[in-house]
Amino acid sequence: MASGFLTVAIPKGRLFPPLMELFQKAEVLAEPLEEKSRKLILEDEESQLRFILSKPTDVPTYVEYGAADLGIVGKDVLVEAGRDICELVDLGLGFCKMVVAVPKDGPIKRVSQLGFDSRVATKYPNLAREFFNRQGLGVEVIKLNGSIELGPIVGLADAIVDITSSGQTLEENGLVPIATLGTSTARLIANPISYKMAFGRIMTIVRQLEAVLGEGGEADDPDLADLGR
Amino acid sequence: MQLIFQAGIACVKGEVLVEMEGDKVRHTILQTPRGLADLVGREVALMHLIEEKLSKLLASWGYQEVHTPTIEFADVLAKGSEGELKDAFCFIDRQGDLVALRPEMTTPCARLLASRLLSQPMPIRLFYAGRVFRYEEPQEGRNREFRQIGVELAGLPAPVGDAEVVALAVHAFETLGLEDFQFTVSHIGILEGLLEAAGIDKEDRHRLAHLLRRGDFVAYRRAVGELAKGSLGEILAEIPRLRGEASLVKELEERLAKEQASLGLSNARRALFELSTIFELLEIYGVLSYVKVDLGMVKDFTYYTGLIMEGYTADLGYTIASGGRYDQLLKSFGRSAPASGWALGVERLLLALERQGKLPKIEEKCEVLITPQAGTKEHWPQALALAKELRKLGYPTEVNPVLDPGRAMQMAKEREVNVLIDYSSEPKAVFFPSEKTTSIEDAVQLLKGGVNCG
Repeated sequence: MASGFLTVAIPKGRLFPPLMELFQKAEVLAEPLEEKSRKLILEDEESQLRFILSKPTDVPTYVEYGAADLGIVGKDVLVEAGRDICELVDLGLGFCKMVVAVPKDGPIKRVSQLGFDSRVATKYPNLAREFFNRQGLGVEVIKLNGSIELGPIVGLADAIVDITSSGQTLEENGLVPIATLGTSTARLIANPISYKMAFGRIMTIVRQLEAVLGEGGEADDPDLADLGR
Repeated sequence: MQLIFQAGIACVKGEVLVEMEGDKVRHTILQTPRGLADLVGREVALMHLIEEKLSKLLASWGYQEVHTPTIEFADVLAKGSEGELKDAFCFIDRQGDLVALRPEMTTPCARLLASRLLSQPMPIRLFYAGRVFRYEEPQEGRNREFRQIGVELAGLPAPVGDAEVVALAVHAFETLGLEDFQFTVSHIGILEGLLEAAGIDKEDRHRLAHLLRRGDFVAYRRAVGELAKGSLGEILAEIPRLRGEASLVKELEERLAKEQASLGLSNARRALFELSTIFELLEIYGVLSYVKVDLGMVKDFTYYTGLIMEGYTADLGYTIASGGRYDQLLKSFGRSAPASGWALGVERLLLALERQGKLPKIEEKCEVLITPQAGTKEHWPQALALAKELRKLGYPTEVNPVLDPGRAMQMAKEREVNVLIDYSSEPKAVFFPSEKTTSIEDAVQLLKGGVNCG
């Protein structure tokens, strides 16, 4: 870990292109990586970085177990996973809000109307449970792995907890947000031991990124950090 | 009876197919509760070896070994964590008392120092090797039952006691041949003092410490940005990044000396001064190169009052050793004394050593199998006398009767022994893996002379 390659777990999918742009701008990488290549591990000789391309939800796991020294992942995934890692930089990418949404024409207008007999569908059961527990609402949380918006339409759930960036998908499915759990952006995370053992190299990357990131605007809604355990 | 039967239903079961006398038979496996595991053979031997080496080292520094009960009253254990026992296995004994499996050893040692060891003069040096139990989410290197070896040094205040325990921890890692390891230290009063000086109230201080403990430096820096302004705010925001050589402590001392509100900073400055004197002593101990400072370090246990420390290697993604100074804990048991100590996780240590290819060598002894014939007393006196002799020589020897004379060779191969002494047919000795056959007398002579097995 201390010498040679540093391993970075990065998510495939929507975060990948803006991430490559940021890495290039910050001069962390001279050339962007090719997501299209079938390879799951890419090495960059010049920067001595090795990249693991993984599913976003697996990034915290790779980092916690030390299979990757660093990782890039959304705050939403991070808080949901509740892993032992260090969160170093807010990269400002992939902004989204975590909201409670209900059918537009349905009976529920406020979160407090969701009772013990209400069901909430979500990809983020830990986060959702924490949010409702804090308000003393003992709703039933149902974990789904995709197309959360379907939940209320087919009568599986009364509400959903999901991320939204523009609100368009919600609207197309006849849903309106009634509460925000918090906001989320992509973070640079580190294995706690790597952070200590490879501190110098990791701080170089942190400073390179911070130099091009600027201050980062203060959002109106609180960061999801406040829902963390 | 009904109840016992019902309790049985709650066991977790698994099924496997096993071969029994040529037939495949369904076999039910009863599992252990989550986060608890069996260790066998080599695993246990390795654990013994490591603990022996460490025990020898700790004893050579004048530490006396103690055994404390696995189960203690819950309120005794809770004294180590502000009256809260959140990760302990608690249950009610038959008298109705709330008891718990010890989640750590420092609090039981503190109780011992203030009870049976009350008349022993300070300083008192204790060490222990034992199992602790924590109701945590099991992960690699983190089971719900694990072994800890640790020390407690009571009666020596900072910085002398701190330097001794840190130096001893470095030697413990060295003794085991661990490579590429590091210790980081900090002083709990530095962050606490800075936060106080910035006028941050207790609730927010707890929140900030919690964020640091969780490693959420983004949220920490944001929260500090809102709570503290000016140059003090800048220093606080930098805390998670203030790690490196001992000189960093001096640098921060100088920076604080220049601060306007230097009066309010007296606690933080005192803590910094203490830490820098600890480093001076560590240099004399000759262990300075293994120790770094990490001012962003925050610990789980609430009993720490001064130095805090962690030890790890690059090959394992979590800490192996952890400890610090706890000057108030003994007082809560009625014997005021400063104290410091550490504990290290034996399973984690084994994992680290394995990854570095540094596991201690288990001395390989020739294993001997003696096979008298079953169902007859013939040869038993010779077999048992020979077994006794070989065991005295230090060869692990087992005696298994066989019915069928052809079975002895097969059994020797199944059990991977080095020597077979077979009385079930024409008495003979067979060496493995060469299968060289000799008379029993010749084999005994060879074994007496110290044969090289394998």
